[in-house]
Amino acid sequence: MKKIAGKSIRGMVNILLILIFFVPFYWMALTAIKTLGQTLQSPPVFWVSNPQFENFISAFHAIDFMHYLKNSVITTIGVLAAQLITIVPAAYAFARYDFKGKGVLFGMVLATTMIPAQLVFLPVFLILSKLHLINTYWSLILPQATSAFGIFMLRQSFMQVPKELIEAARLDKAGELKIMFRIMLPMCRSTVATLALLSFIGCWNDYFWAKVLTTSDAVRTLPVGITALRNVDGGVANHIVMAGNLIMLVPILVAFVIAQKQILKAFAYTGVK
Amino acid sequence: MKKIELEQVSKFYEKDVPIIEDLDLGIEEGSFTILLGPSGCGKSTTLRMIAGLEEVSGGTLKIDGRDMKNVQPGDRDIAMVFQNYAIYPTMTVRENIEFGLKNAKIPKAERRKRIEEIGGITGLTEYMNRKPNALSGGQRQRVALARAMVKNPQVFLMDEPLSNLDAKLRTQLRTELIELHQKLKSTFVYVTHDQVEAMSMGTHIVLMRDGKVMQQGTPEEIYDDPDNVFTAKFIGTPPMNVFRAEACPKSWKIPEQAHYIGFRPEHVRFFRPETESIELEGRIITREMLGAEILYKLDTPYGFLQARDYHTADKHEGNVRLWLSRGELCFFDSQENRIRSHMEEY
Ligand SMILES: Nc1ncnc2c1ncn2[C@@H]1O[C@H](COP(=O)(O)OP(=O)(O)O)[C@@H](O)[C@H]1O
Ligand SMILES: [Mg+2]
Repeated sequence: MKKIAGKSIRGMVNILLILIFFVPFYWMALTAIKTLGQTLQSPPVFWVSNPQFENFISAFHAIDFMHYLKNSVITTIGVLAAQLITIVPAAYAFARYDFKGKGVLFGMVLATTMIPAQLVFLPVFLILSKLHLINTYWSLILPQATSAFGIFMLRQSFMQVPKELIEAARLDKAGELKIMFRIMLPMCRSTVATLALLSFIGCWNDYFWAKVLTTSDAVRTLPVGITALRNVDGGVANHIVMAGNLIMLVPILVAFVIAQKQILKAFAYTGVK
Repeated sequence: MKKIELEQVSKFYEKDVPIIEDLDLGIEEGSFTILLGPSGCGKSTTLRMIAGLEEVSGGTLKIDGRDMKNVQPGDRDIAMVFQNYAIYPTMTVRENIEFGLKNAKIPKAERRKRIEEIGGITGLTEYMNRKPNALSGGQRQRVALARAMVKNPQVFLMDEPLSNLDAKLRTQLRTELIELHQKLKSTFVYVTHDQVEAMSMGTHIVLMRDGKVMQQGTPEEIYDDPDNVFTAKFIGTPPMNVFRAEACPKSWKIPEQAHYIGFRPEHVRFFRPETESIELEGRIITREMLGAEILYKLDTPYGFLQARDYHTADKHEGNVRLWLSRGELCFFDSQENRIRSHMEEY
């Protein structure tokens, strides 16, 4: 009896979790194919029989979609590249070297994950504006150019690599860069894939930095651009906004499908599953 | 000529806790030198200092007469084989073997030639494009060997390379390593805790305990002429029998300073030898038939002993008489060191 009760409770929790994650997504997708009238209807409708696929075309044409898309792509690639360059050596050093102040430094890195962006955006803005970088891609890339969480995760993975492998590489005349990128990174590829995906999602969807560190549309990215869609039908065009959001989501879904195998492996490996 | 020299070398991981202290060691060019000793005695540490993977805390380490203090592991013209293989898991067999050559900027044609040759020697030719996880333990160790050999190093360092393999494969690879050494004529330094492995492969054995050299020499010297009780008991299966001198009767005419008397199991005789000998009585406890020879464990008034006899028609049982030839006895003093001055007297 107890077993069955436990099982059904677990089943119910699972269903609840699925609902929590699924309902907002469903709502977004549904809204994206509603008519304006349906979005404003009360009580709200949970099903539409006449999907308005032209909403997507409207969304695409209402703003300079390609312009924002280009900015998003450049920013995201820039951030990912910058993170690769900054995270890997830091994680390697923390995992494999002994140096004075290592503990304090690592503590500081971890502490930064607890500081909210809202607290630092002003100094960041001031610094970037002193450097005349506002409204350049740099202003979008630099604030996210590294990730304390990434350093932490990759360090944990690097610590799992047997030290003999690094020593063997050293005897094979490999320099530190080669050890990092040819030996360690490929061995930790599931962690790398997970981190890359998380950074990609974070950066692709980022609204805060993109809004705060730009004053003109020149380098603004999709999340900022899409908010302008609301004004299409006099300020209430939520269906167009959602259509735009859905288009923006496509690359994330694609990336997730590609990285899924590696990510599940990473979680199974660390025992988080 | 000495290929590798350690002079007064010491190693500390923590202050005041020496792992190795004032170690003097010379490794002959072209020798197959074995660093032998119980687990934790500092064999790996010594090997790793030679490789440059571990800093030398004090003293000097020279290879080819050159101080290695500031020479990187990759620049010492050595190759190392690790106990857990340490082959790169994300690379194919070929990439594993090629990695060191690429880093050494050896041209492509030359690389291909060498890899082909090594593949033939190690029997890996058909596995070149496989990843290590699709190989057996023996094959992985061959990859590790191939990776070391392909660099044509002056010195091979090996840290218990066979201990993860099953018994049969171990014996096979043992023979292959001996052949390899004879063919390459380079210097091999091989770490093991297994005295059988040491005796069968080495041209030179360095027996260590607690970071100190207890004795070094050829396998024959170490076996026939132990410097101390530790060596006597560490080498040989079964090891040398050691009695306390005070338990033995006066009639044995033991030299005064001797505290211990040792003799090899094969020197225990079940018949009276022609040379001057000591006679004792014992009771057989166990008998192990090993094929060509038989091992007995016996209880005597002076302690237990082990005896080795050839497999003959005689089968010894119960209470027996035993003889020890006096010339084959080893005497040790209170510090467990060998007393040699009395050899001539008796
Ligand atoms: N990195 C290290 N830090 C501290 N102590 C170590 C380290 N490596 C080895 N030791 C100690 O040094 C001693 C010798 O180790 P090792 O050379 O590996 O022995 P062996 O190879 O003969 O079994 C051991 O007591 C071991 O605990
Ligand atoms: Mg060891």
